Amino acid sequence: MKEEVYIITGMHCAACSSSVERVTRKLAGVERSDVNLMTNRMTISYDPGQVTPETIMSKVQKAGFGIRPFNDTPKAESTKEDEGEVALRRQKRDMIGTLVFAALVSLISMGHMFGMPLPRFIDPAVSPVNYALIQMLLCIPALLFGRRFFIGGFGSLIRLNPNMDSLVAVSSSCSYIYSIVVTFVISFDPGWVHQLYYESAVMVLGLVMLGKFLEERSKQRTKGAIAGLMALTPDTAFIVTDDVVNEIPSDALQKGDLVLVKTGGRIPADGIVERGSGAANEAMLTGESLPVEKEVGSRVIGGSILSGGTVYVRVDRVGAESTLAGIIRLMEDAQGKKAPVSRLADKVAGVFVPVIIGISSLAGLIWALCGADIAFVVRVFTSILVIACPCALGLATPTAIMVGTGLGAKYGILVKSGEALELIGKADTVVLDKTGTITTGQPQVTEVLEAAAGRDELLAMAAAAEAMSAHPLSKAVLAAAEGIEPVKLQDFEELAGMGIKAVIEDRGTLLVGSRGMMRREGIDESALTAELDRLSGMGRTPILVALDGVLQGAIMAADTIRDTSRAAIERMKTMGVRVVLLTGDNKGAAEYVADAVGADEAIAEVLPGEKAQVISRLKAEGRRVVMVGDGINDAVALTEADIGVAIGAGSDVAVDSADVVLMRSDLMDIPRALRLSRLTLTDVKENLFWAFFYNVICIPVAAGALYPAFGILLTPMIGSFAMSLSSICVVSNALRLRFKKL
Amino acid sequence: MTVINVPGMMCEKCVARITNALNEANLKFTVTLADKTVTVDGDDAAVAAAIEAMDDIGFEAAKA
Repeated sequence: MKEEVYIITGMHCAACSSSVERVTRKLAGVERSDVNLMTNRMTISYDPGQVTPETIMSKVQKAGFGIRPFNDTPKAESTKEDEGEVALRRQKRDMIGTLVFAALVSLISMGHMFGMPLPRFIDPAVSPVNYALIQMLLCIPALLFGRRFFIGGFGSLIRLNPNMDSLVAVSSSCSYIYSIVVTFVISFDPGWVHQLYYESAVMVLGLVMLGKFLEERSKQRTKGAIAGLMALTPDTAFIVTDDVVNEIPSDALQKGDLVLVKTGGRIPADGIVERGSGAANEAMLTGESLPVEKEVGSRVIGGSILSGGTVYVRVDRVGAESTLAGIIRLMEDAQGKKAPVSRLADKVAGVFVPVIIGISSLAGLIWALCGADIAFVVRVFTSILVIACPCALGLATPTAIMVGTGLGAKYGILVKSGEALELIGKADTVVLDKTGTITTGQPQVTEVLEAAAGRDELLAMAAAAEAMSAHPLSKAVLAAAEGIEPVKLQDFEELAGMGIKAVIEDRGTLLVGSRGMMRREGIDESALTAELDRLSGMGRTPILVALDGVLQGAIMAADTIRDTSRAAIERMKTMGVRVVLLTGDNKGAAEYVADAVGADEAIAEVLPGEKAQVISRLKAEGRRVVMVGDGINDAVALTEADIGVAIGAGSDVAVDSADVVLMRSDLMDIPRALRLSRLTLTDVKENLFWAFFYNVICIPVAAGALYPAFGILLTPMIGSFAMSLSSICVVSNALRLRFKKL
Repeated sequence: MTVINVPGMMCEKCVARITNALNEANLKFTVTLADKTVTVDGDDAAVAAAIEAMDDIGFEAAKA
């Protein structure tokens, strides 16, 4: 087996990296291949007898990527650049180029209107031809910088599939060609000198480019936030083999490797702590600001920082399977899928473009038939095209969704698709799985009922017995008995599903367990029966203690309700959502918890397999249902619900089936997600308003509707200004969302 | 017209790679990123060729 590292270029998304993995893994003789999207590295191990580096490289190239062997020079990596960044810089350069020349043209054409003197040789009053020619020349670089609008715009117009770019291209070239014609006319009739539209030809372009640039930059920023997070994976890891520590590239880590992480170090991959203990800061992954205690058996996430302690971690997930890779995939999915609202915007745009071209031609034709001169007709035609350009319409939805997704990520709310982001806020019913969602899933002792023995003695006996057991309730008892010296036991015996039987020297047989166990052992529980019945009805689980055939007392334990559950449910209710609690517990316990947290309804005694049926029943009642759950047994219900929410970065299956993933285990994030959705949707609507507002007002003015009565006509220049104002309104309105508190 | 689901299609780059691969296989098709589908215009053999071409560049593809 031979192991090599290659640099892959041209990967955009998680699908790209998994494609590379798939094609290389399919080669006979390749044992393993892992691709890291963020570092662009592929680590591959293969049998040199069956595969050569050439076959690997040609296979990857065939799949559409660049590949070269990785030579250990760190320089090669620091020069690696995100393609999006490069494209954005090119876009910025083009935009500045166009804007600078457009500004020069505007300065020359309009400066003198504000009393700014022009050199004599281009003064329109002295040498009108030079004045026109210099503008014509200055426009050329501006148009060249914006050439992609012409190439793309005319291209799609020819294919009868006009888009925004077509509109820009048509209006800009109309103005330019018209002005060139006028320039020739000026040479024998200088009176035409004020009919030039060079500045509008290039200003439109410049301002549209500014809008597109802002859009692209906001996209890039969202991406940048994720990329920044991913870049946190350390370059190297300390691998431990036979007690010898070696430093190797993190990408070369394999499942089953043991790595050492010291205080201040970053954890190189997902895994389980095998030795040592410490605290990890997972803030950038989960938003949880406090360090999380890690001990033997705890799961650690690649990319988080070990803020204290030293741990040995057994790596169990690398490459595309890692938590980090999963997060990138989610974010990319969200950006790839279009929200229903944005499909609407696309549809509108498809109709809008031909209609606008129709209106402008019609308006021009009518004016021409009314005897207006050709200059006037072209002016009307171009200004309608310019003002109608609904670029802002195209910006409205994507910018809002982009910013909304980014805002959610800041709170550890990962939304898988634009659709989910849109739908969750429209939900009217939120179904919460009780255990692990409303409650922590870790029981605690709530009451100690004394019978023959006192509290401390009861705990001393119970703790001694439970110390031997792995039952979840044991932890609760041990925690409650902290500081109390346990009694000494002999002949320990665990009766599955019942409890524990042991002997205390000189005192007799100790029984610690359920009521069923006591009944079987013939213990009389009548001293506590009433109390036990009452507390059981409230969802407590009793642990009875008997010594030498006499009931000593009982310890009651219950799953603890999360601190924030009540406030979160309160907030959901004020948002007009019905909160339903779903649990497998008995009715009494369910109602007790529902009451304690303020839920509207409790559906009890639901078997794990029936959860999905409950959801479909609620849906059949015409409700829009959000299901929140964390476990594997919730997966079907999560899929069945209109929106499934996996909480606490729960099990992988739950995360896969969910539309929204909450990285923290805080129920407060559910109302936050609802608010995020509503804010985003409002933002989309506001954006659509701003996008249409200017167009609708300006189109009749541009068509010359006010001209006969008031002599008001929208010049192409004012038109393009109004249009860009609408783009700026839209983009800044979307960016405003970034600063909202959820 | 046969619709093929390509769940792994995520970005413009994916679309470009699929388009290239299918062009090389001389197929008539359209790629839709929004739905993660490829629509092939042709007989069963063309559809099978498309699925194979996509599999070759690392995409899982199946008839809808």
